[in-house]
Amino acid sequence: MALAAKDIITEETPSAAPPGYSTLILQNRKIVFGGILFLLILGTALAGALMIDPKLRRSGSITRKLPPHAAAVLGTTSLGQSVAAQMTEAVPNSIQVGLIAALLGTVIGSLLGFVSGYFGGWVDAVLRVVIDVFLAVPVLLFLVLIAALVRGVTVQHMAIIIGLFAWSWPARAIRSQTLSLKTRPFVDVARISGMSGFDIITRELVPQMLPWLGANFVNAFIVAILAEAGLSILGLGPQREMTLGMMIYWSLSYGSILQNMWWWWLTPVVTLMLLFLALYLIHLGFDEVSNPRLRTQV
Amino acid sequence: MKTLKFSAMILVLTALVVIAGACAAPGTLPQVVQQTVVVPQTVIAQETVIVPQTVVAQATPVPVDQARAETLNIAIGGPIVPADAINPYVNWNRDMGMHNFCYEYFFYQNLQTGEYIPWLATGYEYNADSTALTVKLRDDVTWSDGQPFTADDVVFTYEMIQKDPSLNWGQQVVDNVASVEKVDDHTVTFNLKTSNPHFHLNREAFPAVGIWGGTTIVPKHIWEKEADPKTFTNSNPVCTGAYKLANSTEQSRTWERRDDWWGTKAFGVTPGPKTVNLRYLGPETNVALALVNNEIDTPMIGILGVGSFEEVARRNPKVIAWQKDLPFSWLDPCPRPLMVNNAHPPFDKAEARWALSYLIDRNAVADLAYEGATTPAWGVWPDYGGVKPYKDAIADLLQQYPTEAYDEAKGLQMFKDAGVDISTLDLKYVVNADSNEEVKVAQVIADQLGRAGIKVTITPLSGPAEQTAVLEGDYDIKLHSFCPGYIAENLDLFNSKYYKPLGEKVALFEANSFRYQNPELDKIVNEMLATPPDDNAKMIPLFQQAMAIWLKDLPVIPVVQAPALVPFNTTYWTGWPTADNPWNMPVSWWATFNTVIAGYPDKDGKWVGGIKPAQ
Repeated sequence: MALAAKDIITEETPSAAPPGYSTLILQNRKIVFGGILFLLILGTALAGALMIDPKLRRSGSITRKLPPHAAAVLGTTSLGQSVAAQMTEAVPNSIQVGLIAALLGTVIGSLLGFVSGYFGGWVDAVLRVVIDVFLAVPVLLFLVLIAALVRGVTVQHMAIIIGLFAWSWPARAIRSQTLSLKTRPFVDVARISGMSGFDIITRELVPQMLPWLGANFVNAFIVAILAEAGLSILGLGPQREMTLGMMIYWSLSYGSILQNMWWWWLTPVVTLMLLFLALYLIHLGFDEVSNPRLRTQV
Repeated sequence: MKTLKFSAMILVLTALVVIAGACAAPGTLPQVVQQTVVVPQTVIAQETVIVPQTVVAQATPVPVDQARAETLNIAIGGPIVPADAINPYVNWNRDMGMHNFCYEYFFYQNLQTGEYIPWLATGYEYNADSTALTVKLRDDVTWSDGQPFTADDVVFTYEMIQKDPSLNWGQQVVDNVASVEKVDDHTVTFNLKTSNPHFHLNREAFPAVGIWGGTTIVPKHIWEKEADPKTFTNSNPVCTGAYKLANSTEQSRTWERRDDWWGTKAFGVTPGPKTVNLRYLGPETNVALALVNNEIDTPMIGILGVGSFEEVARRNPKVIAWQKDLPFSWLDPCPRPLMVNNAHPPFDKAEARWALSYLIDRNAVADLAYEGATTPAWGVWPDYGGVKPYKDAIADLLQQYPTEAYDEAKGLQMFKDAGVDISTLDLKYVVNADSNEEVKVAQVIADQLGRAGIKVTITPLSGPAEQTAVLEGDYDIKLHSFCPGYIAENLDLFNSKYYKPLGEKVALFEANSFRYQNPELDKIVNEMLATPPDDNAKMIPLFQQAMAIWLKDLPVIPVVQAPALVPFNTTYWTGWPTADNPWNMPVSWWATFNTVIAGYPDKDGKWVGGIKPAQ
């Protein structure tokens, strides 16, 4: 029976050993703080959904243009909707877009990156061209075009559209990491000991890059939420569902900035900023975990 | 890669912080507030790379000099698509200067004063049985290239349309006009297919503008060189109007005054503005701030809501509207019903259309989407004095068929009785994405239907995509303006002669894109069209008969009257028409707008109106 490749890695390159990642993650203050902030935002929205009557999301359900008061803690819109009630729908929807798009981007990107980098040859040649082409296109321009074509999108459509364009950077980065990793001795050992290419990728390479994939996932998450907001503000978002971007869109449509209805536009803007902050901290934390040189700066 | 994304994120964060900072203090100086809008605009532009021109337009320094004082800036609701084609027979965006600054028409109607103003023509006369109309043209009109405007141009235009009825409004010409004959260089006779004493009011088949536009006469010496008028972009149009095209992009179009305009010689009048700019500035807030900062003299319809207008008027007292108080708006003659596709089950049944009508709370639509600028509508006619005797004549019918009623329980019961399971419905609600008004109304109506349990999918489309979807009947519901607002003409919109099967383009959006057919109604409408429009004694009984059918069938669902909340900035230009001085209609997107800019001669030849420089 072949030698277990892992044993050799542990002996030869102890610092790259997978064990210890979870401890590192839990000990990283940026990840912990970012995570708590993220859960706080999501938790508040979910708790709000249980407490606030969803009917208040509909137009004409409450007096228009009221600043924050007891009956509507975040005020009301020109269309007679409660801003707080809208937030209980918008926050989970925006996070949903981020999650689905980031998941799609990371999974597709990793698959192509690993296959292209590990197998090389004509597979790599073809995939590299495809990846480079997607890298070269201005993603948001394409998103605008597609969203404009697929009018009447839902939150899930949007997530998929954004996700389908979120894989090229991860693919490229993972490919180069794989190119470097596959020349290391532990991969040679695994190959000599008879592991298949697929096994080597899943059992040797993926664990090596887990924290890096995590950082990448969070980054894609941020970009997707941002892309959603950008598309929605342009009027290309889901018309019948509320997201943070659509809230900003509607508040702009009704001139809320001009009319000093600060509660309408400021609420989604501040929430977006906090979401960015939370996710960015997590991203930085993952970066530190995967790159030991950064760790001293914790 | 990370740096890129990171910097993009920082950019957006910074922008958001700047907005937050700039807007936190209410009542800041206009200059500061100006920044608040420029910033998100810039961010969007950088991210999408499709609207750099907006930024350029925005970044242009506010001209406070002579050049600005001689310029009329009009804000438009969406980008100009297509920007380079100025063909009235292909492109529907005639109101981007094509018909209000470039081409001119035989007659203009002033709905405010009731005048029928001769312009390119001097008069008209029907024959005894109204089967032919003879028009005398002015003999001193020239095209912008110096060629004379003659009867040959008129005959050529009509022959071109007869050859290809698929040209815009071509079907109406073919339906109404048998032939056009040149009597002499400045006299033409329109031979009509039927006796039609309304023909001089038919904007779709005759070059007279009542509402919005009219049939456009094109120069023979230019257009005869084109093998197919449909492929002609006409990007450098030769017109008779006082302005010529100087520049056109999707974001702005510039028209420059011609010093050799025939009207200057004929009337001794030069229109005030040396330059007219149509500019797309983006969302409502941008337009509002541009008005506050005197960058814009008037925005087109549906851009500014009541709330924003009030704030603009508070910050810049030089900005006025038709009325001094709520609802501020001028009543547009084209009400806004909800078109229901009669060819899509279950709305092929009148019961289902009535059920839907009961689910719509019109007062809420007026209060929320229009912020109180309008009122509910009982039909497809404006609440003008001339319509009142007709409405009064069908008072009992309106009691039997309450078109303004909102009764959710009754609506749901009617759906049940008609055997419709509303949980299976998913209505495709097509919205013109460039119309702030339509986007807002859609949200409220979709919420109301949603509350009743009907799923609505809003599909915003723009430009030709939206026009094609509507003309081909690819929608379940769609809010649309119903023009021209006259009694017989608006009933004629329901005439089966405009009917086309689904997938084929109808002649006009409101001329039966909703696919309604009823031969009984057709018969009465045709009789009304053969009756002189001012013959109320004969018209009213016919109207009663027609409405007995129309109300029972309810081919479209009346929603609201059309408010035209059109602010005017008096900083650079004065003399705008208002309720206090109602000398003309305050509508810059109609072909009649050239009579607002230049003024017009009344019956006695006295010059009326025209906007004047304020400084």
